Amino acid sequence: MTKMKSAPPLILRVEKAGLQSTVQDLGRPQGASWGLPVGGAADALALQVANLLLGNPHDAAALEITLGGFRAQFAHTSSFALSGADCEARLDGRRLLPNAVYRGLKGQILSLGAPQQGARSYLALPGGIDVPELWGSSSTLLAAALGGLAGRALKKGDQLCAGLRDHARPALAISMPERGHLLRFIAGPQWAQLGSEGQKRFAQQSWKIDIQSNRMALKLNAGLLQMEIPIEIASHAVLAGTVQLPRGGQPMILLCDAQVTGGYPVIAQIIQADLWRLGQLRAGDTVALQQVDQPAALAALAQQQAWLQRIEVTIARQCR
Amino acid sequence: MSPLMIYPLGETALVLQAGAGEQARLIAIARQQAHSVALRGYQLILGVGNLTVRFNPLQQSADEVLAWLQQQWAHSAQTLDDVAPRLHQIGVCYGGEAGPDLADVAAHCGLSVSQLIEAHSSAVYEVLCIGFLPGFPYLAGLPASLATPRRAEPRVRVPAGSVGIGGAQTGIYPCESPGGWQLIGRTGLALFDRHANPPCRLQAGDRVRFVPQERG
Repeated sequence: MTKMKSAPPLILRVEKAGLQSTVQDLGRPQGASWGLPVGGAADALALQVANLLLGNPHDAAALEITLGGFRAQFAHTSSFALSGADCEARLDGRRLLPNAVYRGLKGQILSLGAPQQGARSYLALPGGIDVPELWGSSSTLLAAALGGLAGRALKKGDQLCAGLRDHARPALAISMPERGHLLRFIAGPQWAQLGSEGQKRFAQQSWKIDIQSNRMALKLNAGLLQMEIPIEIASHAVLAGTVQLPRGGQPMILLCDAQVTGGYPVIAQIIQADLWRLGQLRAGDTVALQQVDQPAALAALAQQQAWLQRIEVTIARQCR
Repeated sequence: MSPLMIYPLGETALVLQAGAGEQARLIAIARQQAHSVALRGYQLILGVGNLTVRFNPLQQSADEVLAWLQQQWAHSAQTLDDVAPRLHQIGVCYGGEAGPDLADVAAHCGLSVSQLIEAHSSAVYEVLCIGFLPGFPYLAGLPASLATPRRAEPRVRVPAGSVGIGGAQTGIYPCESPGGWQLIGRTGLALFDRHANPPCRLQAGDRVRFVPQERG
């Protein structure tokens, strides 16, 4: 006879789900041939930090909370970690810092207000949030109503279970890199057709994030931009960080839920190391774009990976 | 033969641009390399006339991926005939509530409604790639006489299974979404079913024929 697997421990009862709270991990990259967006956390760096703080695998499922407004009660005592946008989180009224590990006691209330800056906060539980995996990932894809908690955003009354029963974690906090307002990019395949004047404007003016932005794309506002040589291109792969320029002249930076293929000219690609910054931008924020070359992009990515690894090693040492 | 170009898309992807005339070869690479690609940790994304390889630039160099792509391209000419296309017959209810724009499209094309249905359902379409929405097929083969501009005002909600014409293309909305295509009918067939294996009914290289169905 097989031993019955014990039910995953229930940790939180959601009292207020906020604007949009979804279960996310690092996404589902292998679904491209089915037309599935990769998805996953909009700020994958913050998600990984929250997981590492708890001793979870870096890609475990956590809760992505957009613009705060979240409240839940602990059904069982458990450690948890918060990262990303600072939402003046409180545990029974006591102020919590972002990017830190805490312990919630049974009956206590965890609440997140509205962030002063940044857009998304991450809440990790021991062993990750327990939801069924779909094609190797727990991430929620709202557009297709797939993954996560029944393919939808959380609502009042939902219950969140953890992958593991609580084991007390040492109190730890980490300082995240400055978000800043700079996004670095590599010239895209249609950069040349933008013309030197257009290129100059793209890289020198500051851009405002439009209100019409979501997990699929951020629209940029400011003077409109036109291709010097208008071109029609066939549908091709687009990625998170791809900057498209539709005929209307308003550039779009694609985000984690970007569709697999698109047909607009691609003038730039935001470097991987800066993708997490995109997930923290919100309407009205100003960004500047700076062109870098491939070696600079790779160096920044390697540096970021090394930083994450240092956190992992340091925390492992603390917990020994 | 159209000129072959391989260029980077950021530091994590290379795009092989071959032109729409070479779609069969691109499909052959995507299909036959599924195993080797998974081993290497690559991802292949097929477009129309192009194929993108994503890789982890901290684990593989762009030069390595470039060499692999060139090799696959050279090899694909010989393996082209190994791919036998599957034909899917997709039942469609034309017109009525299922296809509210049918009469407008027929008028635009200078055809009667039954001529339009006849023309749309007698063509054999080729699935060029899957994209835009989960399970959405980019189909080639719409008779030129049926090309109709998109609606001036896109619909906020197009029902799943809707069959439409947008410009020189025809296609099926696999799930409910906003959309600007002219809707001529609807199929009850699920193009994307998360419980099926694989979840996507159509794949690049398949053939599709629409079969008119009585409403009932």
